[in-house]
Amino acid sequence: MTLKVLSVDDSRTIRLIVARAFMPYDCVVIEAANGEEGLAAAAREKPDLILLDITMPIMDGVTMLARLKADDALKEMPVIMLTAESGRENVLHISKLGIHDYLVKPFRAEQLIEKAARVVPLQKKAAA
Amino acid sequence: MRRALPSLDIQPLIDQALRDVFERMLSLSVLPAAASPRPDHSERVVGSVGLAGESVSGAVFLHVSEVFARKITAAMLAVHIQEIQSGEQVHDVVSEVTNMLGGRLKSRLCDAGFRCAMSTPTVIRGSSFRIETAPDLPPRECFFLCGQEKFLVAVHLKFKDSKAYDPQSAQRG
Repeated sequence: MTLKVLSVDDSRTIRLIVARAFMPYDCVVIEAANGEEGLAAAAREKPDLILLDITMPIMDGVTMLARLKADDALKEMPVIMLTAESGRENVLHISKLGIHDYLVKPFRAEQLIEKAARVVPLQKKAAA
Repeated sequence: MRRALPSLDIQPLIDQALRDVFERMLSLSVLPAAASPRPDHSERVVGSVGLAGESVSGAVFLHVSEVFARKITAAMLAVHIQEIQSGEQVHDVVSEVTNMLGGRLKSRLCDAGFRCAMSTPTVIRGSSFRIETAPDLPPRECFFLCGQEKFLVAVHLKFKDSKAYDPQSAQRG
């Protein structure tokens, strides 16, 4: 089964790096540039996993997560937060928000895949 | 509780943060460099993030040449430098690198009890501009070499309790 991964980040570069990391796997990566677009994409696409940046314009990741958790149709979607802030306070704060995991930027693609694979059953694409 | 901060030495913090970003996201190695001679960036790109809290405020600036900005963009996107066609790509990469540097500094400040928020990054490009910060924000300049390219990270921090941080002491560190 092809998994759907929703990448919510205001940086096109990070979205590209995420999409590239998942390329060898049987996944479709959907992109959103802020929390507002991310919520709409989550409701529309019903992703199996959401990768969510924190600091974004229009709607940040924490607000998007709170809205996700307040919506019965979306609250069970697993979320891995991506953050540039590795401080104890920030990590404690985001761990209490009901996320599955978090990843501190900068990260290597392998770290992202390792975290994602703990949440969803990633399968390599079959050779053509 | 806020801790005393003689240990908030900016140089090793920025050194490590920059090394992590360059090695993990760009597969490039960087080394600390001497301040002199200062890099001469006629065409340059400057990324910045602001920090603001009750007890600390400031900014982090990443100064790179236009050529080096294109190099790091190519490295992050894993493409050849000639494939970097748009300024938007360069803007996005410089913005993200600055964001990661600022995020590391903010985390360290918050862990030391100096809670603050960080702005989304801003990027300035051009050939003839000067960035002026408030005169009471003491700068800490950290220079780096990546191959032949020299570049600069400037950190401006102002603490409400000036005894909490001595930029001269940090400079020596």
